[in-house]
Amino acid sequence: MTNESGHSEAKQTVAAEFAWARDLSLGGLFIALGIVVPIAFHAAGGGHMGRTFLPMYLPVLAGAMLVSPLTAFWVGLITPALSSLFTGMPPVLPTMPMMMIELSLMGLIGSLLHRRLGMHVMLTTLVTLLCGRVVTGLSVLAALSLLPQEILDSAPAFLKGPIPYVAAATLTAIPGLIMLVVLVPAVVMAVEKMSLTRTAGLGPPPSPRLRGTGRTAD
Amino acid sequence: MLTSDLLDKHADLNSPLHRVDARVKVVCAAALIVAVLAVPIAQNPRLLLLAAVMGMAAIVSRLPATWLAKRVLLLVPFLVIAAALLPLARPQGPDDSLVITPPGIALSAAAVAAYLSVSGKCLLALFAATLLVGTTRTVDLLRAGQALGLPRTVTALLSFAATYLVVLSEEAGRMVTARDSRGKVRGLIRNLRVAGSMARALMVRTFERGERIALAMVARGYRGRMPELSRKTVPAGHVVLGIAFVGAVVVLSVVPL
Repeated sequence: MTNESGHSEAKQTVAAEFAWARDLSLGGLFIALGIVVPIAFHAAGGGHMGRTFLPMYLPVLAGAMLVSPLTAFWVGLITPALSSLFTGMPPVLPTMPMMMIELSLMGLIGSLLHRRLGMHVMLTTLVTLLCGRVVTGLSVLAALSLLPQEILDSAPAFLKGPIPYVAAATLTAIPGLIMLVVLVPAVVMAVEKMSLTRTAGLGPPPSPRLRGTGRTAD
Repeated sequence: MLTSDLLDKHADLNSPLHRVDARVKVVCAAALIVAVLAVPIAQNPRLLLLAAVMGMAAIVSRLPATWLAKRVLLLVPFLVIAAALLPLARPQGPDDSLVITPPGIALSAAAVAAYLSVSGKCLLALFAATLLVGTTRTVDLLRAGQALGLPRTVTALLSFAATYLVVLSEEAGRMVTARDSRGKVRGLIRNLRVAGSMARALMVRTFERGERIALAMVARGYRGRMPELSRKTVPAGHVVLGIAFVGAVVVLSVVPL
């Protein structure tokens, strides 16, 4: 009995250590991907494809569903800043701070919904993208409140409030949003199938929805 | 690819700026970037003063001018797009009207000032960051971040990201070469479909790699915390230099024009 409980504790410790190491390793890799994938997209389609195809969102969003909420938050926060430093994309003002807020919260929400609540990956992607648009609207509102009144007066209509801005940004990004809805679940499902944590039994406990079914969210 | 061109490419040059302690450089760069971002739109000429400071630092750093220019010019497409939106801003009365000849377009003076402010700040912030990255080794930057109180998780993530950037860039480069060897794809949509499937393949391989590395870390004795990086005290001369630099930046930020 004592041996069994000792063995179980040791297994839990190893699982926790592996989960943390896996989080850091995957988090670093997804940050790196968040810099490399946009470069590949720009090479394929020209210099300013970011607004239309949202290539940085792909690794950040997919990564969010594969790592813990805290790591997903950091990945979303660090990726735009590091990409801006290394490649100049997104520009330091005003896009980078807005993307940092948006991607970090999207990462946090995506990870919480999929890994903690066991929500299906497709639904998580849709909800997370929707939350991302809301967060964009709020960050635009915050950014506009910092601008002097005379600049707001002369600004074009789509820059005068968060709703027209978010509508314009969403319309521009429709191809990218479709691509995310298709690619993120495909990537997450593909990697979850072959995850070592499933085969080694080292993953975190199953989510409430999956508990008792013998399946795990990882 | 781009990342191997950036990371540590010129970090081993021998210049006074390269020899300064990384922690002092990080603080100075942060002070410079904050000073740049804090310049009000009405005081745009102040950006030129801060640009002059950065220009001097660039000369002292002995970084190749073409390399610096290449990094900063990455912003140009974004600035051009933003400039193309300027005619959409309506002038608010004759005082706000700025007529550009020969096309004879009337622009809003306030919008032009805002554009110049934002573009200038973006360029200078990128230039300051490029100077920092160009004159400091990545590992020293991470140590500086850790010493200056950056959370351990963040430094660990950043160190992984810095390591994998080169690996992934090379892998992406190999995938691009393989795509080109299979024959050129015509049309934007087809090109993007290929790019999408390449991104998917890259991510799946990345995930496999990440898990293998995590297993290797645990197998080699990783116990939930990254080992603390060694710490050295900042030389007194470098501290004085840093204080003088930050002081000069503060003076330039408040001196009346």
